[in-house]
Amino acid sequence: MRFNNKLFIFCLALLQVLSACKKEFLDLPPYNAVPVDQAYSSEADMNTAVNGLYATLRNAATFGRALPLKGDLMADNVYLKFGNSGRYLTYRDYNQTAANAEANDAWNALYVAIKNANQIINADIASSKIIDQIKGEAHAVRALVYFELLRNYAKPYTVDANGLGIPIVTTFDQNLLPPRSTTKEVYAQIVSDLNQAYTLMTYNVGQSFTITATNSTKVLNSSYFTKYAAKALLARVYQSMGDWTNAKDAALDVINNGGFNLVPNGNYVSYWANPAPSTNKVESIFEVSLDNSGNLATNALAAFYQLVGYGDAWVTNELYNQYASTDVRRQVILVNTTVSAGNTVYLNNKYSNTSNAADKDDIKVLRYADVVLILAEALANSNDEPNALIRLNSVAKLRDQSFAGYSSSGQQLKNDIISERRKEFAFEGYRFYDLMRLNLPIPNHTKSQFPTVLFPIAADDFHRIFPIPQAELDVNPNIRGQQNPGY
Amino acid sequence: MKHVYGNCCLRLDFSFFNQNYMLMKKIILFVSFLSTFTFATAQNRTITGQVVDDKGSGIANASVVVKGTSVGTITNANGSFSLSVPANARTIVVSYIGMGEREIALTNNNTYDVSLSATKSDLQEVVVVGYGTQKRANLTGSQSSVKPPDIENRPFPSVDQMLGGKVPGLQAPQFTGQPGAAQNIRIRGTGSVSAGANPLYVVDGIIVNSGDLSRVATTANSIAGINANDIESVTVLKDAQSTSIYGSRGANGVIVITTKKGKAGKTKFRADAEAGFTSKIELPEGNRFLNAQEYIALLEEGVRNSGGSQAQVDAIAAQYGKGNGVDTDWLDLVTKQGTQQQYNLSATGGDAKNQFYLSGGYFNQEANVIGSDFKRYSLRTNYKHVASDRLSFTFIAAGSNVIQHTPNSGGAFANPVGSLPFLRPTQNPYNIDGTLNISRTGNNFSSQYNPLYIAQYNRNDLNSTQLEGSISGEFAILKNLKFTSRFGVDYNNLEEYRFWNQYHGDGVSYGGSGDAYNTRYFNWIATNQLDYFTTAGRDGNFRIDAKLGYEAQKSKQYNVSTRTEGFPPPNSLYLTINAATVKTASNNIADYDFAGLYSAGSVSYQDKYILSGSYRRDGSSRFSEEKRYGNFWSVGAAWNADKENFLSNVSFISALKLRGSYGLTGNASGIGNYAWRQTYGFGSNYNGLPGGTFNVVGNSDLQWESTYQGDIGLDASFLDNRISIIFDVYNRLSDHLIFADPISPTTGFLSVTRNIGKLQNKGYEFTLDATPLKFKDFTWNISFNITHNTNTVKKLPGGKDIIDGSFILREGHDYRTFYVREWDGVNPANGNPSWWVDSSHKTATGTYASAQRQLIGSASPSYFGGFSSTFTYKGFDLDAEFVYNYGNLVRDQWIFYTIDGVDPTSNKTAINLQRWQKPGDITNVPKYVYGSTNSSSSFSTRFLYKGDFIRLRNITLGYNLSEALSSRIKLSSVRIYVRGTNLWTKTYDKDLTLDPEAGVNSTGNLDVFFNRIITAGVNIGF
Repeated sequence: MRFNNKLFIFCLALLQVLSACKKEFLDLPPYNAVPVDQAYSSEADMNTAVNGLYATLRNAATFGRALPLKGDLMADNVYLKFGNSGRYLTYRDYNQTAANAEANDAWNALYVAIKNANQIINADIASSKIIDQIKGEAHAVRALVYFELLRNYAKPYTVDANGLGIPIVTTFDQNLLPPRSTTKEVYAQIVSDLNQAYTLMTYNVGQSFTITATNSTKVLNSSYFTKYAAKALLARVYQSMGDWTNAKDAALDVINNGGFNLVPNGNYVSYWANPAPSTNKVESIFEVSLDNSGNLATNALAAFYQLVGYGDAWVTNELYNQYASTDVRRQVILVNTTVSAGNTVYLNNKYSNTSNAADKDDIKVLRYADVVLILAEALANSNDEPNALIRLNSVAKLRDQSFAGYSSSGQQLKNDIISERRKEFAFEGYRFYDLMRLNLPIPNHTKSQFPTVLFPIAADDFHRIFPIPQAELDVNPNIRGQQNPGY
Repeated sequence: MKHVYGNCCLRLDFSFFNQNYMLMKKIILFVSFLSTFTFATAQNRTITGQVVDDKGSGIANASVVVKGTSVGTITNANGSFSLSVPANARTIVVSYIGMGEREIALTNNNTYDVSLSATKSDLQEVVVVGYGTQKRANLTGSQSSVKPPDIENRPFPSVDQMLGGKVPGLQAPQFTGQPGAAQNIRIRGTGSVSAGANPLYVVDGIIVNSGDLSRVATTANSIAGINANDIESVTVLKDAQSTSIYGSRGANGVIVITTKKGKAGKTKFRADAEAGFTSKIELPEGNRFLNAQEYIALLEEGVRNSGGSQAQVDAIAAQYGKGNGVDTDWLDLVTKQGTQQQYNLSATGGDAKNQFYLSGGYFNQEANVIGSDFKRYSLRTNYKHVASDRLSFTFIAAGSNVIQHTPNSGGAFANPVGSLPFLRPTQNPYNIDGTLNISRTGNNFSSQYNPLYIAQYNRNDLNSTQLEGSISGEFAILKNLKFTSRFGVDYNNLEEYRFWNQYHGDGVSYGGSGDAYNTRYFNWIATNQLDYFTTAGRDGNFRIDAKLGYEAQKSKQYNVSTRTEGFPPPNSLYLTINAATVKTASNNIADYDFAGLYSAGSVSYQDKYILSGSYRRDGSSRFSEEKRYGNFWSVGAAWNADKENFLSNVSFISALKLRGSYGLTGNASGIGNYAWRQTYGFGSNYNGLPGGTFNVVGNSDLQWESTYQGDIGLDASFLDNRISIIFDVYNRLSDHLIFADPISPTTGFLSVTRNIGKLQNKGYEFTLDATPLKFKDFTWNISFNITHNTNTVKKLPGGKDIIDGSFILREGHDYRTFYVREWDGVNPANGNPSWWVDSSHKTATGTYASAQRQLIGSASPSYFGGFSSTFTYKGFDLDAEFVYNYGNLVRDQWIFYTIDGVDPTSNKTAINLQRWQKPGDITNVPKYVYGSTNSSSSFSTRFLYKGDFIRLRNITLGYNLSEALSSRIKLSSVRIYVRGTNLWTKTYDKDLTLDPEAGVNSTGNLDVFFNRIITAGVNIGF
């Protein structure tokens, strides 16, 4: 008996000691990640990486909600309802400090997207049509993100082209402490990236490619960057710079060679109701896709507008009254008389899929109507008013079939283009940036509607530009003295 | 994992022993026969006596041994003994675990009555140390222990909540009344900034996964799975000498929990039952919220002050519900009176060969807020089999099941406690027809949800099963060389379910959502240890102890996470099987390993001078190959001065010991299992297709955090142990602190995890235990302890400040220093808020952003501790335990919404009634302006209060039936008691708007209020 007991203990001890003595015992790799240097080695890897890059754009602090919302709430299209959830109060009140959360979060998230784009662009992998397409997409996304950073954190090019822009980062280095480059330098980077993207990308919306290794086919719908999407973005970039010649050329290339069309009136409502990206080249040129598993849940832009979500952002009466009663665009604005007792409230219904379990509303970044109106504005600013009017009316008369069309000229024409843009792109985050690049005041910025309390914003109000985040200033000595004025 | 035992691996050749067994037996017999002759030449005599405790009752199973021999016996049930001792026997040693040991010199007398007492600093006590036990007299380290009278039958589910105020140097700040909540413990200050700062928990030799293991629940505590009534002792190891043997994980102190074992003797049963009520603790005056009338009046004034016309005033007041006849008392609606009960039954007994302990327990507590409760069933068995005089086995199996419901906390719209600040008195939780109001429009629940509806239809369920199991064997290779091998398992299985209903709340936009999260931790630890002792020198004056061991541990966590949406109409069907869409279904594994060699030794001379040391080399999977191993060591010395000749005649000194230690321990907790690796991860999917990003920047230089600690201590007792003091001075330097070192966000990452800094804690601890009055029927015992700790940040990367929310880390200051603008007050001329521009207080400004932030105060207390006072009279006892805390500031962060007009839609506190109303008014509350943008409610010293408090944690009145009475009803002991918990608190700041006990960061977070509990109970032994 005794011997078995001794044996028992000895075995117990020996087994334990042996099992723990192997070196591998202390080398435990994670179950859900791989080393970085092994992640960009094949077409399939690059495809996965570019998917990750797009997913990074789908962030409530950036394209997912904060930036498109800012474009309307900081302007005069939208206001926060009484009893709101306490979000984006600084957009309404124009009182942010350097510690402002929205400025901080957007900055961080946008640079994460740049890091991911840089990784793809700098990947050491042999070129092929697919690799070039993917690298081109990364260039385009990088340009888009730099453009967004620039127009939120720096003075517009039209106001101060040589002023401070934002730091340009093109490779990963954890010790980087970059200062702000000038606005001009950043625009040069953006334009270079878009031109590079245009050259590298050979696919248009609706086309597809197959990765031989995994035998998977990717259809390039409107949720991926494509050749003409890069050009459309370039048109917008030149518009922001006030470079009308280049804006005109870019817009014309998209219009003539892209094969896109404006959405017909009969399909206007269903176009907006459809949460899926498209391949039919109607209206959508590039959008950030949200779907049933990859979405922002209650933090989506759609949920901020819909009553079934937070429903905090309501349409200003003043905007609603801009639309003629025959304007098809009124059909995506709901008239509600119950949600606020005794008042008629206007609600944005462009994004109606918050409760849709199958798919969610995408964020429309580039649309064909924008390209057409950019061309109109470029022509109007290049003394080609007849063609400008043709382009302008191609949108205005389509949306409102009983509208006789614009026939203005000079400054009035330019104003008409801006107000048509306001009506066309309401709730898509355009308005504020139009007013910024034109350095215009915002007399109808609305604090509340019942009763109407306006809070006019002067053109030189320093709050129109986001502060460089306090966290960046705290860490980066090269940027510390470069905070935007007023903060 | 599979381990094969029994018919296993090796076949050793024991044939030599087999053949020679009979010969061996004969030799042994002959030798012992011879020895009887040697002893027989001298005369034996029989001594008798009784061993009693300080109340005079006999102690059963106490051991009486002739010193230096194995001649001995144990006392019977009355404490009496009879022992045949050799004529030359000089001393007998009488001892009982937990009650110390006494040496009695033998005289011509044949009767010896010995009394043993259980006092805290009894140097003869046998205490638990790392990987073993030791006589307190020989300890060179600093530790404290807490015994069953202080932890049994308390109205807290987990033992770590009962240590506050009882252990000098240990701070256990509570933050919520949620039963089963996590408990942060800081031993000698906070030793880490962003890695774990909680101590290591060891339960019956198993290093367990401790703390909040849940992934969805607001808070949980794995230690709550241990029934405190099953605990024999909780030993807190504090200095380097005592913790260094735990090497790489002992830097924050170690809490060693030893559970009850069997005792040889007649089987003893114990039954406990307790029941009572919980209610909300008294809240400070500043926490009162306005009623409907006050609220509307204030609102109207605010609109007028913002420049509104009378029409606008009326319109807004109507919007907010003026005149709607509703005046809701939200505090009343979300709090309730709850019940508290616990029942325990245990049996212990056995004989010389087999000893067992069996117990079962039930604990149930409803807290004072709706939706907050805790229930636990527990079972334990401890069985020891002595196979021979050299070999014994111990088998422990214990399990518990906890069912806990926990409401949200903080700013979550579903937080019931959030109703107070965020719901207005004019909002009605009911519709006219009596159903619950879930409207989201108008003056209804457009942001904060109706708490009654949420409590009724949402679910926050946690079902946690915990198993502790171990099998260990002890084999005496030689009389002084023992081998112990233990294999232990610590198993935790948490099933969490969170349901957001489809009609009101966070679930509305999903059509209802259900999240089912299962988390399983399987943690095994194998320890093999050799213990050796020997004596040397004349008379065995030198005694040498040594231990050497090897320990390996593997903990593997397995998660399954699921989320579903789209529930059908019936509210009662909340499980995910009913949902239409599966949004997430994923599983994941994470694991960590530790393996190390440890050793310790001590040399003592005549029990007077002791020198000791320890060394441990540990490796962990949490670090890269270059930094994987660490070496941890300590040295210590002690001098029992009372044994010196020059003190032997000083009768009033019963014990006097001076000790000191210094050493290095490490910390590896709270840094993630794979943090050092630079990796690319997946899950950033797009259009339902896999997407990946480079998302962990890693750091292959990551290494252990280290703590160098020095300690000098004095243990003394006087007047026959009637007064005892313990005094320690310590200095703890924590180096290579792991921190998320911020880098420029333009890199795409916000920080790199680096070993960046140094933190120092130094201070002293003082404990006094005394019996000021001791008469035949009446005694008065007091116990007092105080700790003074100063925390200083010594080094930060590049010497730069790190701003962490409302705190700042700056070299030379406490790590929890508030970084805050200084409030100057209200300008009496116009009622505008005013802040000091800088610390010189020369200029004030009305612009919040122009005021610079200053370093003001700290969230860590300078002094903390406890004291208790016990009166006993005949069978009655009255015991009061206090905890106290001085020197910190507490912050109310949610007052941002409830004071001034900055956020007009929130509820408002009564403090607003003191607002400025006309020029010349002197007040600290600015003019109330509806929707003001002057930042008057933004964080400033206006919302920092003195966190000093004294709290009566427990007061108990009990009665013990006399032995005579008990035995008449065939019971060995009966005790009945009444206890009150958290009955009284003294605070020192009249402006307090929240309870001053607010967790480690002294910041209120709208948690469940603390419970005031009244219970009555009975303990029966039979």
